[in-house]
Parts: sequence; structure tokens; C-alpha cells
Amino acid sequence: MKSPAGVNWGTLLFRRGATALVTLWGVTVVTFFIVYRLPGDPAALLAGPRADPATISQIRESLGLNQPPLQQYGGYITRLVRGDLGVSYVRREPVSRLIAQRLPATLALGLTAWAIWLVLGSAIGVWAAARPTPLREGAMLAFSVIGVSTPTFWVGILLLYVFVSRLGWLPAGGGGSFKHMILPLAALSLTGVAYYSRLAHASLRGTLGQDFIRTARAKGLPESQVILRHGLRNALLPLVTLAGTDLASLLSGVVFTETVFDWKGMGLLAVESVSNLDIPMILGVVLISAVLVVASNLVVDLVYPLLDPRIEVADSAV
Amino acid sequence: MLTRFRDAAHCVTRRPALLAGLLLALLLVIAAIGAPWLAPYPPEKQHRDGLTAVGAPVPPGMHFRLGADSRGRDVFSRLLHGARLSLGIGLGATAIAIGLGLTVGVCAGYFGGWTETLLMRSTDVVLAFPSILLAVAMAAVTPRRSAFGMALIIGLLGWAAPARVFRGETLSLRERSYLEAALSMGAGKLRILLRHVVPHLGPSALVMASLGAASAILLDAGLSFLGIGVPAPAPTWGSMLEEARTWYSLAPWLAFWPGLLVVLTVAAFNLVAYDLQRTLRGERTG
Amino acid sequence: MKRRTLLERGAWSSLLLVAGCGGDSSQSSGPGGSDSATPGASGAARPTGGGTLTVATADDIKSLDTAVAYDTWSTSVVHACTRRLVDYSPAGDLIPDLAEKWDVSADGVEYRFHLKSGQTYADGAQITAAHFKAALDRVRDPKVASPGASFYSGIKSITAPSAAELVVTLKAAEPTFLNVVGLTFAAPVKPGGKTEWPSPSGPYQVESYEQGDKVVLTRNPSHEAARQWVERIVVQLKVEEALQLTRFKGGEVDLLGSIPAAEWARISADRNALKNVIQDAVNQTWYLGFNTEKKPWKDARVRRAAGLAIDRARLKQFAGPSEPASGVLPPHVPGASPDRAVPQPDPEGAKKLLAEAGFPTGLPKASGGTLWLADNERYRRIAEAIQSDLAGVGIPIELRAVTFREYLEGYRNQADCWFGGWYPDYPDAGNFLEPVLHSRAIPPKGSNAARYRSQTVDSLLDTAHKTPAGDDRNKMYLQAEMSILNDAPWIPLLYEVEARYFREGVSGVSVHPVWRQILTGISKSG
Repeated sequence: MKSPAGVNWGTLLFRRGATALVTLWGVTVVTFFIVYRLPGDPAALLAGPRADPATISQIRESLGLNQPPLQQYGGYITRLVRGDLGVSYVRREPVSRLIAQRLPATLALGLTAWAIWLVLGSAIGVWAAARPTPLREGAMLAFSVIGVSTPTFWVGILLLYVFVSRLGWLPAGGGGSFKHMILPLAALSLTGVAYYSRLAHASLRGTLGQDFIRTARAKGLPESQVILRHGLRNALLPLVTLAGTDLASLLSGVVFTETVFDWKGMGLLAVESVSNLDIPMILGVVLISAVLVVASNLVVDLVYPLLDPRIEVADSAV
Repeated sequence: MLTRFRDAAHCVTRRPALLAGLLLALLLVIAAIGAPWLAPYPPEKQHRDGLTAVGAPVPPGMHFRLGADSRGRDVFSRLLHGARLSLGIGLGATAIAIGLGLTVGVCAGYFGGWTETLLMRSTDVVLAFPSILLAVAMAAVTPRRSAFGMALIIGLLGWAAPARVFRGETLSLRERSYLEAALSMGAGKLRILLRHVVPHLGPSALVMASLGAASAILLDAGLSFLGIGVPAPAPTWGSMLEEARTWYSLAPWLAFWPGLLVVLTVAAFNLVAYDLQRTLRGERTG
Repeated sequence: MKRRTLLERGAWSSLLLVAGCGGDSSQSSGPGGSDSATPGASGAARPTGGGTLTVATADDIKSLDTAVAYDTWSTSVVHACTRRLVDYSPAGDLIPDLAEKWDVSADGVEYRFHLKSGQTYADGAQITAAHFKAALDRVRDPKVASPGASFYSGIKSITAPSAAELVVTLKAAEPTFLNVVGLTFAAPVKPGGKTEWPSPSGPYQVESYEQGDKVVLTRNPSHEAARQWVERIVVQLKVEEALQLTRFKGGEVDLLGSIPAAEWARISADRNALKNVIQDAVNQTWYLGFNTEKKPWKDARVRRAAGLAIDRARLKQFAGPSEPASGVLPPHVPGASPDRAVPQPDPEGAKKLLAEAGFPTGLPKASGGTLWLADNERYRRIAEAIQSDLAGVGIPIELRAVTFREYLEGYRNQADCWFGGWYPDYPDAGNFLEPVLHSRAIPPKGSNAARYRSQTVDSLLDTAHKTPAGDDRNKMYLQAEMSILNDAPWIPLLYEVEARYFREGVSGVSVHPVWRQILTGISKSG
């Protein structure tokens, strides 16, 4: 049983922080040793077809590719600790700068979609839970199951077909105005909205069955008031914290959305860097994504005791 | 026997989600197993009359029931054979993921201490990746991607979430008195694990498996869509969608059917999982 | 879709270090008259002179350094921003540009170029002979690692006796030297200017360049002929094929450098839609190549059998704009025989050859090895058609679609066979054949990935190289081509036809035999 009074903030912060660092270190190990096995010789790729063997071995030397894998990893980690993500093989620019260029586009798309997940998801969940008729419940179930079962990229293609090819109402992604963002957002939102609508639904139904709600009803408050004032607050808080830990699946969706709509963000960068065998770039993108995921989990972990619904329950019951 | 069957039937009909899920799954399994007999043509055969003179795919009609694809192949035949790959990879990956997850989760929960810390930290690591990125990297280092290879890659990414669940359940099982009783009677640790812990994890393993199969099939389709699935000319639904990307405005049937099948397959497993979850919760709380 | 990058030429510029140092950019406009000899404006554009032309391509521009830019789009942008001593006419012939005239010594070793007077960069600075020397010195500097260095390796010395005179001395006579003087590598480099972008001697200049995103060009106000052309050109890079089309139809993009296969299938029979299409054959051959040192392709009979299995008419159906190929040399190279009959598929003949080679029931499973190709929808389609044709006579092969970077290394060193495209840097049979089919060029020294060794072909190529242009030379190349067709290290499949798709109101779009994608000469009304 957790109680906010019993939490020693200093210890908690330290322990969670240490765990997060260990996790990130694990991420670098896994990624590095996967990427290390990429086919193709980076030095030969860099040198070009006209390069003589001497040049290639020189490049190999300068990139440290002759060293045994463990030593290469050591070098990578040492540079990483100093904040150096390396230089892209393809673009010849620092990886950190390239990621920084692409990150805003991804965040704009991802965070907006994330907000839509929560807002629209809750709205649909509340709609079904507030008056649980079989029709509403059934529609809700069908929507949530189909929604979470639909691949983002398929939604993307269908949206492109209908709204761009057939109707010609909207531009085909690509960036720029808000109009460009509508279709990618729609594609990226479906799965999340479906998922969170079911969670909101379940959570609200659970809350509405609790004692303090019965008390509120007994006091003669109208049902809408009961739901809005007491039910929602308690039902949706855990949803927000949960969504905080769901960044990894958001990022996965972003990869597909960016691919289908040619949205120049980090997801597209990731896929491109794998196709280009651009090892520093792959390592960088994966690490930054993992940092985002771990950081959001950390925030949720730390904030969770503050938002613990049981405390809210205690308040409302008074 | 008959009444039992009737009971079972009664039970299923009262659970529409389970019924729908099982029915869909059954249909897909029939399609997958029967593909060689149900499909009118070999899935890889390029028909001369599958393309128009200027190279456009022939629309659905008498000859090609769901149309031809951009290589002049029969879409219907490819969809059927695609079911084999999709289900095969999805279920194979799930078996790997559940097997690994079970091992890791039970060991962590049962042995505790350093074993637990080590295992759960590695679980954290896997969960910290957006799975698609790790899958893309792993697929890229695997030049010859067979169906088994894909199942392995996807399975290796899917064990972390089940591991967490199994660990939690093992922890709560450990608290129960009969385990202590078994221990005090001198039963070996492995024996206890296999006889007294693992069997109790069955119901949640079933839930994790159906959820896992759903996401494994989605991930496989996604990887094929990104061009790193089982290579051409294998008829995977994901690669059919990838092809459709350049053709959908002219030949929308190329984009429609494979996507629909992915949705139906994934939904089938999600429905089953949904129902099982509810049932399990119902059993426990009430 | 045509992704020019499959072509050898320029493939590597992306990977080379972009050498060079920063410097003051000199981009202010200034006076300075110049007459135009810029080629390519084939359309009779009504002079509107303004507006922005937006172009989209699936390719990237890897570098705009004149010494480094080598793939099609990089070259195309550098071409639009520069002029050179000599240039290529819309038909691909050499014509004087910044050089008024030139004298060649009797032994063919010394070239003396006389520059036109009063030629300037966009900022009004004079273009002098020293700037051409600077450019050629840079390309030949090993530190710059220019992919074009080998074109100029025959140069012994360069001097600029006066601002208007450039003397180039060669180590030995080279009948094709003027051709390389016309390439973008030889565009003048302004001293002290930045080398990341071309010194703006041409009708346009670079306004901004973001790799993987876009390049923006603005018109050089002092360039006479360009006044009728569009004011700005935006090249959107790395735009996926389906999106190119939707943007094109939505009006966001005015010009597509290639037509996606699906759209081609829709419009190629529609005369009305074809009004907005310009198409022309270019000097490029698509071929099926074999590593002649690996089994089973070691045996010429198996290679010939593969050739007989291929149905080129069907391939064309799969490939979109293209023509069935009858020879190795593409149609507009001097010495080519475009009228030769296209070989018809002969599956029975193929099976007979296989039986002679010891495979009466076809090759065992997976023994045909792996066919490498660069990954995009058009190439995958063609490769799958090849795979299907070969399977039909009993040659099973696997496909390996990889990224272009991986492909370049892979087909040279790992592939059993590959789907490739090859085109010369300028219309010349020697430039086409020597790098890929002379035994001197067997990897790691060159790009003869077939490991083709034929003394006959080697000596024909060597003799022809030294022979001045004309019938004798062409005859030697024809002989070499016949030998190659018979030995079948390559099976020629298709000649490339390039098609441009432009919106209503855009005029002056063309396909250029040397530059291929050409951004000059285009205007836009409305």
C-alpha cells in the first residue's frame, strides 16, 4: 500500500533515476550489437567505387572499424557520455543536429495525436459508460476492437485514396500548414482513440459503481452532475498517467504515419537510416526514442503518488 | 456428453465477443490450411492477361475474382496463401514470446533477488524501445528472411509484457500457503515451479497469447509494409499493401482486401482476448 | 518510377566527403550581360518570365559541390547554376559556350581555349581562365575525392596565360577530351567563394539547400535568356512516388521528373493526358548481368538460355516508359544499331541450351543464385517479371531488393546476377563500355561486376579509344558489341525512355540526352 506521506522523495528520485539510466544503457548495448551486424562494409560504402583498397582501409581505420566489437562499443559509450552522438555516414553532419531538425515535426504530430487519443477516447468512453445501453456498449466494443486491430498504414492509404485521390479535399501530408496535418493525425489517432475509449469506458464504469458515487446519487444530484463532477475526475486521472507510459506505441505509430504521408520527422529518419546502413544515425534515433520513452515513464512514476485516485476518493467522500 | 456440448454451446452463444472471435479465427485457419485447394491459381503465377496492354492491373471480374495485382497475379489466390504466412508467423511469434515471457516472468517472480532484478531490468530495456524500430533494425541485419526468421524476430520483441504479468502472478502465488507446504514437504524447486506455479498461469497465458498474436500479426504486416518482411514473391498481406501504395488510385482493390484481412485477423484475436479478460476478472472479483 | 540512382553514374557522390571550406557567399545580384547558350529549352515558351516552378523527385541531392555532384539531380541543379567552356546542345552535340573557340595542336595533346569577353557571375564578378584552372585542379585533387577525377586524369598541366586564355596539355591524345570539358565538374569556380554550392555562372543560383528536403533556386537576373523562364525553382527531394502524384494532381507540384507506373498505365493510352507529357529515349540500357565466375552463370549456355527465356514485350508492360532492347549500346550513342531486331522469347530453345549445359530438367532449386536489385517499386516489378520468366524455363532465382547503397557494393561483390541500368556520361560508346566490360575494370579496380574477360573485346575497345570519331571507330564498337551479345555477360533488356509530366501552363520542359533532368528553359503561365 503506497501512501504519499510514506514516500521519501529523495530516495524515490534516486532509485527511479538510476533504474532509468540502467535501462538506457541496456538500450545502447542491444542496439549497438544488433547494428554492428548490419551487412555491408561502411568504409567501402563511404569510399565509393573508385576508391582503392588503401583508401578504404584508411577510412576503416579512422572510423575505428578495425577494432574488436567490445572496444568499438567502449568508444561509442565514451563519446555518448560526453554528449556526442557521432556523425551521420550519409549526411556527414552531427547526428544530434539532424535529429534536432526532425524532432519538432515528430513532436508536433505525436503530441497532437496523443492529445486526441485522450480527449476523443475519453469522450467516446464516457458516452458509452454514462448510459450503458446494449446498443452503445456494443458500438463501443466494436469500435474499440476494430480500431486497435487496424494497421495505421492501412488507414493512411485509405484516407489518401478517399480524401486525396477521389475527393481531392486535402493535401497528401508532407508538412507545412495545418491542412497537411489533418490526414496524418487522423491515421495516427484511430488506434489510440479506440484503445483509450475502452480504457475510459472501463475506468468510468468502475468508478460509477463505487460508494462515493452512490452517496452522491443518494444526495439527489442529477446524473450528469454525478458523472461530470465525481465520476470523470476519478476515472480519467489514471488514464492520463497510463497514457504517459504509452509513448513507445505512440512512436511506433509515428513511424508508419510518417512513412505513409512522407512527414519529415524522426520516424522517417529512422527508416531511412536503416535503409542507408547509416549506423550512427540508427543508434542515435533509437537512443533518443528510448530516452523519450524512459523519461515519460519516469515522470509518470514520480507524479503517480500525487495523482493516486484513492486520495481523490477520500476527498470526494467527505 | 451431449449435455456437456450443449452447455459449452450455450456458454459460447452468451458470449458474442468470443463467438465472433472464434468464428473469424476458424474461417481464417480454414483459408490458410485450404489455400492450395481453395485458391484458383498458384499465388506466384504472373498471368499475361493479368495486366492490360499498358501494364495496369486487371480489375475484379470473371477471371480474377478480386482482381489482379501489379504483376498480373491473382489477388484472391495471394490473399489465401497470405493467410498461411500471416497466421503462421503470428502464432509462431506468439509461441516464442509466451514461452520466453513465461520463463523469464516465473523465474523472476519465484527466485527473486538478483535474478529478479536482472531479468526485470532487461524487460524494462525491451519495453523502452518503440518495438517497430528494434524490429526494423533486427530485420535489416537478417538478409534471408524466412517465415521462421520473422516469427523469431517478432517473438523476441514480444516477451517483455507477458513476462511482467507472469512475474506478478508468480509473486502472488508464492504468498499462498500450499507452496510453502509443498516446500516444507521437501519438493524440489523446479518441481514446484512446474507442478504448482506454471499450471496456475494458464488462464492469463491464454489472454497474453491472444493479445500477443494480435500484435504479432500487426507487427509482421507492418514490417512487410516497410519492405523488410518475407521477400518477394511471397504473398504476405503487408507486402501486398506496400505494392498497393503506388497503385491505390488506379487499382483500389489492391489496397482494400489485404488490409481488411489484417484487420479481421487481428480483431479475431483481440475479441478472444477481450472476452477472456472479462471472464477472468469476473471470476476473481466475484 | 524511375529512380536515376540505379544508374552507376553519380551513385557515389552521396558517399564522398563533402570537402571544401566555408567562405563568404557572394550572392548579391549585379549587372553583367551575357548571351545564352544554355541548352535544353526546347519548348517554344511564351515569355512570361516569373513564378515558381515546383518539382518533386524520389531522389535526394547529395551534394551541390561542382567537384562532387554526380548523380542525376545533383548534376541537374549544378547544370542550371553554371556554364562551362563548351556545352551540349539539346541534341547532345558539343557546342561552344564560355569558350568562343579553341585550337587543338596537331598531335591532339594541347587544347587552347579562348574565352568570350565580358562573362560574369551573378554578382557581376568576371569569369576568367584562372577559375577554370581552379575548377579542374580541385576535381583532380585527391583530397577532394571527386567522383569525376578519372575523367581528367589524362591532364598533364593547365595554365592560364591570360584572363581570356586557358591551355590544357594532355599526357596523350584523347579524342573525347572536349566531352569532359562540357561536364559540370569543369564549371568555373570563383576564388574565395564557398565550394558547397556552385559559383553562380549560369542562369540560376542556389538560394537554399536542405539535404533530404529541398533545394531552392532563383534566377540570375543578369542572364539574358533566363528572363523568359520561371523566377524560382523548388525541387522537393525524397518524395515518395504515390505522394508525388497526389501533390501533382493537387497542384502543389508543377513537374514530375518521372511518371509513376500506376499513372503511366492510366494515361499512356489517353491522348489528351499525353499533351502534358514529354517523353524521349535516353542513352540508358537496362540489363540482366551475371557474375561469369560463379556457378551456374559460369557457363555461357546457361546465360544464353536466360536470355532466350526473357520476354521483352512483357517486360516493357511491367517497366512503363521504355523500349525493348536489341543491343548493349543504347540507341543514341554513336556506333549503336537501334534498328537491329529485338530478340523474341524462345523457351524451348532455352530449355535445349540448358539440357546441353547438363540440366535437362532445369536447374536444381535455388541454384540460380540471388538476383540483386535496388529497391523501388518499378525495379521490383521488372525483377519479378524476370524471375517469373526464368522460372518458366527451369532457372530458379531468388530476389534481393536492397537499398541503393547496399546494391552498389552488393552487386559488384556478392551477387550471382543483378538487374542493372547503365548510361554513359556523354554520348560515346567507349565511355559506355570500358568501365563495365573491359577486363581492366574487373573489381576491385572497376565496375566490371560480370568479371567479363574477352581479349577480342579488350583490344577492340583499346583501339577504338584512340581512334577519332567516325565510321572506323563505330565499326569497332559494333564488333565489340556483337562479341558481348554472343558471350552474354549481360542480357540487354530495355532501353530507357524518360517521361516528364507537367501541369497545364508549364512549357519548355525537355529531356536532355546528357543532363537528362534539365531545369533550364522552363516557363510557367498563370
